[in-house]
Amino acid sequence: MTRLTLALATLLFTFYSLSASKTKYKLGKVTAEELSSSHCPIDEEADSYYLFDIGKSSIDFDNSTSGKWVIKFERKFKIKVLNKEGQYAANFIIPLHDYGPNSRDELTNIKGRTYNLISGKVESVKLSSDNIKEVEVNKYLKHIKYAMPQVRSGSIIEIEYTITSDFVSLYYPWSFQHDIPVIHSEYDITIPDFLEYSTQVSGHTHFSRQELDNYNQSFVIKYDDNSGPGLPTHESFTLNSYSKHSLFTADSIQAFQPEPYISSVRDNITRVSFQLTSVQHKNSFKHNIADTWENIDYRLLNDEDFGGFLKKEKSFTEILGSLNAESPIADERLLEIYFQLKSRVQWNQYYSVYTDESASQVWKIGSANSAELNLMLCGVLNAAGISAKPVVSCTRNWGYFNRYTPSLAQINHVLVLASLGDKSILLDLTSNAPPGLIPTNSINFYGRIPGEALEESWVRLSPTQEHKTHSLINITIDPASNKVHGNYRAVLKDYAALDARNSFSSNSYKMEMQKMWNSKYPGLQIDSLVVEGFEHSINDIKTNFEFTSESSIENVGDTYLVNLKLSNQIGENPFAGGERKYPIDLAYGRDIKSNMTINIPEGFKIENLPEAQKIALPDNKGSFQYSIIQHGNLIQINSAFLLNERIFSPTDFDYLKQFYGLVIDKLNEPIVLSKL
Amino acid sequence: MRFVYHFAILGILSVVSCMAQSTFIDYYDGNLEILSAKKAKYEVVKRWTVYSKEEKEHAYIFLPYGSFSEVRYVDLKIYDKNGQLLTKLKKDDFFDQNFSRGFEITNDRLLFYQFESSNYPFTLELSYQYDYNGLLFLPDFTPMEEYNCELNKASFKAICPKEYLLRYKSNKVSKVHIDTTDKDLIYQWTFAPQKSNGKQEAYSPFDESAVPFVLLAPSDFEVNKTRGSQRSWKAFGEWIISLNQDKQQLPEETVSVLKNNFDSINDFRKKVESVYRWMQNRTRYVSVQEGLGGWQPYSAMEVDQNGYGDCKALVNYTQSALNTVGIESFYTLIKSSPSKQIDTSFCRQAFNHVILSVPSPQGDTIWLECTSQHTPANFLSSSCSNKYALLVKEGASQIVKTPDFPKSKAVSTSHSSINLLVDGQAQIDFSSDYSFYFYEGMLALMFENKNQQKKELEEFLSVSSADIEDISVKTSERPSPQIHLSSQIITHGFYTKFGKSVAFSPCYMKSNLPHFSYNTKRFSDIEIKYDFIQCDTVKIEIPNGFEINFLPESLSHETNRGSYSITYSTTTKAIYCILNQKLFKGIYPNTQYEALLKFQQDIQTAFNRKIVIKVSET
Repeated sequence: MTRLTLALATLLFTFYSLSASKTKYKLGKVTAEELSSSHCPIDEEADSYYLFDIGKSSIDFDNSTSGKWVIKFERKFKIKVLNKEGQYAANFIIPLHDYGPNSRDELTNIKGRTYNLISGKVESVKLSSDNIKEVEVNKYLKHIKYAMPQVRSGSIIEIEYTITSDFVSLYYPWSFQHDIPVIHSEYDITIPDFLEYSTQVSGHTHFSRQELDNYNQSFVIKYDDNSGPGLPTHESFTLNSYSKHSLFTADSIQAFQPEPYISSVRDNITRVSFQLTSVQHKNSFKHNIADTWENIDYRLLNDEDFGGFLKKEKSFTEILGSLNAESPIADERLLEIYFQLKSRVQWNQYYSVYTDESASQVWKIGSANSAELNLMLCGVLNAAGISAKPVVSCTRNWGYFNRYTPSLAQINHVLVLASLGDKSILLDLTSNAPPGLIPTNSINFYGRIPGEALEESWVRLSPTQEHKTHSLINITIDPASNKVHGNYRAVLKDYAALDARNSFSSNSYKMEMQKMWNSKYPGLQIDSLVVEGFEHSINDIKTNFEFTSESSIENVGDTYLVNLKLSNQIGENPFAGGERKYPIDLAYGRDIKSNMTINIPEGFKIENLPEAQKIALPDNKGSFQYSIIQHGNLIQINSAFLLNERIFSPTDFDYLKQFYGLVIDKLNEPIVLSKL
Repeated sequence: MRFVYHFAILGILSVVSCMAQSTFIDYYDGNLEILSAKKAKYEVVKRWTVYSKEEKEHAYIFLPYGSFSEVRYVDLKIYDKNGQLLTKLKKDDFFDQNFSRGFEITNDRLLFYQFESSNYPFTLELSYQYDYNGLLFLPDFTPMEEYNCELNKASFKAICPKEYLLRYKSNKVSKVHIDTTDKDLIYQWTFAPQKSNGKQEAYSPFDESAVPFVLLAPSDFEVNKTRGSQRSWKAFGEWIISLNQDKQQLPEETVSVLKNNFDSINDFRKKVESVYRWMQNRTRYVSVQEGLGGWQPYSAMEVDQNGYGDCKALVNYTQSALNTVGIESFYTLIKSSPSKQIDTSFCRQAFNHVILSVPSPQGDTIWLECTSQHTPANFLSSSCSNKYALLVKEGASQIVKTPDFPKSKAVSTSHSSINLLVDGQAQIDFSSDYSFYFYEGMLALMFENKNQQKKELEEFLSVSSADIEDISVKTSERPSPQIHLSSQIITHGFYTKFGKSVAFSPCYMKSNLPHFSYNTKRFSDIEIKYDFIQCDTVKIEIPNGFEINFLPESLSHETNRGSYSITYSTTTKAIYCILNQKLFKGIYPNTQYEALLKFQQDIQTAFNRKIVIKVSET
C-alpha cells in the first residue's frame, strides 16, 4: 500500500514537473513584462542573469562514418541583461576539443535571438552566421565565439545549440553555476542500460536528482562484414535498451565569484560530471571500464609512459653514475641525489602523470614535466639502493582528491615516497619544499602508490607541519637621539620557509626583506643583514639584523610612545570584505611566535604597558596569547599566534577576520614612557 | 659563475654584482628579400647563449604571424655548455596558438617554444623564415634585448627591386651600405659589439634609443588586393580612406532616428555629446579584429545591425552618425600605450587603435573614444593622451597631437568625520572625489558589486580590520569627470588607550601617490607623468568628558619633487586635520630615487604622528 502510493506520487510528480518545465522553460516567447523587468529576483546587484539554463544529453550510435558511439548534448537558455555591464554576458565562447577523427566535439546546431522592447513593442533579431566565428586556439582546441546582436540594457537573449561529442566515457558534464546568477537550471540525461556511469559532484549549491521512468531506446548499428570470401557485406543489427532517464534540477543559484583562500574553482563551483564505469551487452559479461583503483594502477604500471619509464633501470644507473652520491648512509645519499637532481633538471611548469621523453633525454636537456622529473628521482633512488615508489596525486588547483571515485582524470601529478628503515619521506622535485614536507600545491587528502597492497596504497597528503615563524627581538631606547636600536632574529620553518622560497629567489630575498621592513616601518635603518639557510631547502631560514629606527619612538607631550610593530610577524589582515560564500582553505596551520625584550633607559619611567591577553577560537581551532613581564628596566613580551584548523567553514569568516584584527591591534600597541 | 654563487651564500656581494651574467648573442643575421610591393621573404639565423636562471626568458622564442605572413620553417638546436647537442626542434615541435585573449576574435597567431633547463649555460641556434604576402609592414630588426644582453655581432640585409623605394631608420648601428646589381638594391647594416644593462623597473621613461635597431617601412605596398603608400602621412591617410570607403551608409530607420532626435540641437558641443551618448547606449565594444588583418572596419550598416564592433567599426559608425546630422569628424589612428610614442618623422603603420576627432566651429577639437561605454565625450584615457596621431582627411591627412591628459593631474580630495567608539574602534563617514588620472583608475570600481567595492576599500585602509557598513560609488561629469565615493566605515584598532589617555593618528588610509619601494640600485630614471595631488580633511569628534592632551605641531615641507603639509586646528568639540601631499610631474634622474623614497617615508612619518586626548580633569 505504502509502496504503491509512493510510486504513484513519484509518477504524478514526474508528470507535473515535466509539463511544468515544458511550458515555463520554452524558447521563442518573450513578453513585454519580462523585457521591462529591471532586477534579478535573487541578486539585487546582478548585471545579468539566466532566467533558465536547460541541458539534455543522450547517447547515440553514429553510422555516418565508420560507426561510433557519440553523446548528443543539447542546451537552451535565456539570459536577461539588466544594464550596460551585463552586456558582457552576451559574448559566448564554446570550447570544442579535437584530438583526432574519433575524439572530438562538434557543434551541430546553433540558434539565437535577442529580444528588445522598442517603444512598447517586443522586437527581436536573430543571431546570424556572421556573428559566429571559429577560432583555432591550438591543435587540440577550437573556440566558437559568438556575440549576440543588438544587446542593450533590458534585452533578453535566448540561445540553443547542440554538440555531438565522441567523449562517451566522460558523458557530458553540467555546470549549474555560472559567473552570473541562474534562476533555474536543469539537466536531463538518458543512459542506455548497457552503460554505467559514476557521478561526481562539486560545489555548495543544492541540486536534486530525480529518476524518471526508464524508456525503450534502440540503436541501429551498421557494420561491414569482412569475414566471408569476396567483397565485404553491409550488415546491421539493432541494440535495444531500456534506458535510464534522470533529471537534475537546481534553483536560485548565486553567481560564482572566486574568493581568496579557496582550494580551487573546480571544487567550489556547483557542477556534476560523469565517468563511464562499465559496459554490459545483453547476454554478455559486464566489462568494467574503470574504474577501480586497481584497474588504474594496472593501466599506469603497464603504460609505456609511466611504468615503462620506470623499467628503464639502465638509464637511472647511468644518471646515478654521473652524480656525486656515494655516502654510505642512506639518509645522506637520498639528500645528495635529491638536491643534485633538483639543481640539474628544471621543472618545465607542466604537471602530468605521463612522461613524454625518456629519462636519459630529460637528463640531457635538463628540463622535465612533473612525471618525468619525479619518476626519474624514483628510478635513481632505487638504483642507489633506496626503496622509492611513485605516488600519483592531484594538485590543489586541479581539485580536491576523492579516493571514493576512482578515476584517472582526477590525477595530474606524480610524487615520490622513499623508505628509509621505518621512515617514509615524501619527495617532489617540482617544489621548493624540502624532503618530507608536503608541497603546498600537493596538500590534498591522499595520493596513491600504484600496485601497492591495499593498506599501503594510500599516502596521507595532509600536512603535519605548519607555517612557523619564531622571532626574537631586542630593543634599546636611546633617549639622547630619540632613536631605537635593536637586534632582530627570526627563524622561518616548514611552510613559512617554503613560502619565502616560493616568493623570492635567493638573490632577491635580502632585498625583498628590506623592502618589506621599509614599507612597514618608514625610516628603519637595517644594518648587517644576514640571511642563512635560504639556499638549501633542508634548512630553516634564519634572518638576523641590527636596526636603528627613527620612527619607533614618538614624543607626544610629556610622554613617549614606543611602537612595537616589529613584533608583528602576521602583517596585514588577510581577510577583507563582509561576505564569504565558500570554505576558507588555509592549506596548513599557523604558528607565529615572537619574543621581544625592551630595555628602558635610565631616567625614564613606564607610564603604561599593554595588558596581557588570551584569545581562543572555538573548538581549539586557534588561539592567541600575549604576555608581558617587567623586570626592573627590562620588559619582556611574548606572543603566540596559533591556527590549528586548516579548513574553516564560510560562517567562520567573521570571527577569523576579527581574530586577526584583534591580534594585529594587540601587537601594534605601544609602550608609554615618561621622563623622570 | 661558481664564484658568484659562493659569495652570494656568504652574503658579501651586493645585489648589483649579483646581477646575472648577460646573455651573449654570438651572431644574429637577418636577410630580407623584398620581391614586390606585396611579397617578401625574411630569413634569420641566430646563435646565443643563456647563462643564468634570471635571464631564462631569453631562451623563450616567439614567432608571431597572421593573415599576411607565414612561418615557412623553423630550425632550433640547443647545445649544452660542452657543445653537445641537447635537442633539435622543427616547426611542428613548436606550439601554435591563436593570439586572442578572452572574447577577442583575431587571426593573429603565435608560434612559440619556451626552453627550460637547469643546466646553464646553454646555447641556442635558431633559423627561421617568414613568407609575406602583403606588405603593410616590413619586419623590424632589433638584435638585442633591452636588458642584460651582450651582442657580439649582428647584421641585417635587405634586398629589393631597384624601383622599390625602401625607407629606414636605425640606431646604434653602422651607416647603411648600399650595393646595386642589375635588378636589385642591397642595403646592409652591421652592428658592432655592444651591451645592455639594467632590468625592468617601475616608472621608467620610454627611451627608444636604448637598444640597437633597424626599422623599415615600405613606400608603396600592396595588401589583400589594396594598394597604398607610406611615402607621407598624407598618402598613408588616403589608403585608410580607401579601406573605409562605402562603409558609412546607415539604414534609413537609423538616419531618421538621428535626424529626429539631434538635428534640432543648436549647440554644437551638446549635439556631439548627444550623438556620442546615443552611440554608447546603442552599441558595445567587442574586439572582432578581422578584415584585412584587422585593418578594415565593419561597415556602419553591420554595426547598426549587430549593435557592436571594435574600435574601427565604432569610430566609423559614430562618424557616420555625426555625418547624418551634419557634423564633420575624422577617423584618427593612434598608438594607445602608457608610454610609447610614434616617430612622426618616420611614416609607417605604427598604430594600434582608432579614435574620432570632431573639430568644433570654435576651432578646438572634441575627442571621442568610441570603445568606451562610460566615459564622457572629450575624455581620452591616459594611454591616448598627449600622443601623436594620424588624423585621416581626404587629401589632407596629417599628424596631430591629442591633448595632454586633463591638466596632467591626478587629484583626490576626501573628507572624513570620525567618532571614537569603545575598544579602539571608530566610526568614520568617508567621502572622496577622484578626478583626472585618478578618475580613470577608479572608474572600474564603480562597476564592481558592493561586496567587491567594500573589499577593495578595506584593503586601502591601513587599519587591522574594518567593516564597511555602506558604500556608494558614483560618477559625475562636470566640471571634469569625477568619481565620488562615500562610505560608512567601522574600523578596529583606530586608537590605543593607556591610563586615561587615548592616542590615534588622523591618517588611516594608504596614500594614492605613486609608491616607491626600497631598492638597492636604481638603473633607469624615474618618470612621474602627472602632478599627483591628494588632500584629506579629517575631523575627529572629541568624545564627551575628554580633552586634548597633545596635538603635534602643524608642519609643511617643500622639495623640488613635491610637498606635504599637515595642519591641526581644534574647537572644543572636534579636532580638524588637513593632510596635503603632492608629487610633481617630471623625469627625475636615477640618483634621486633614494630622495623620492625618503620623501615618501617622511610623509608617512609626519602623517602618522599621534594626537592624544585624555579624560578631562574637571
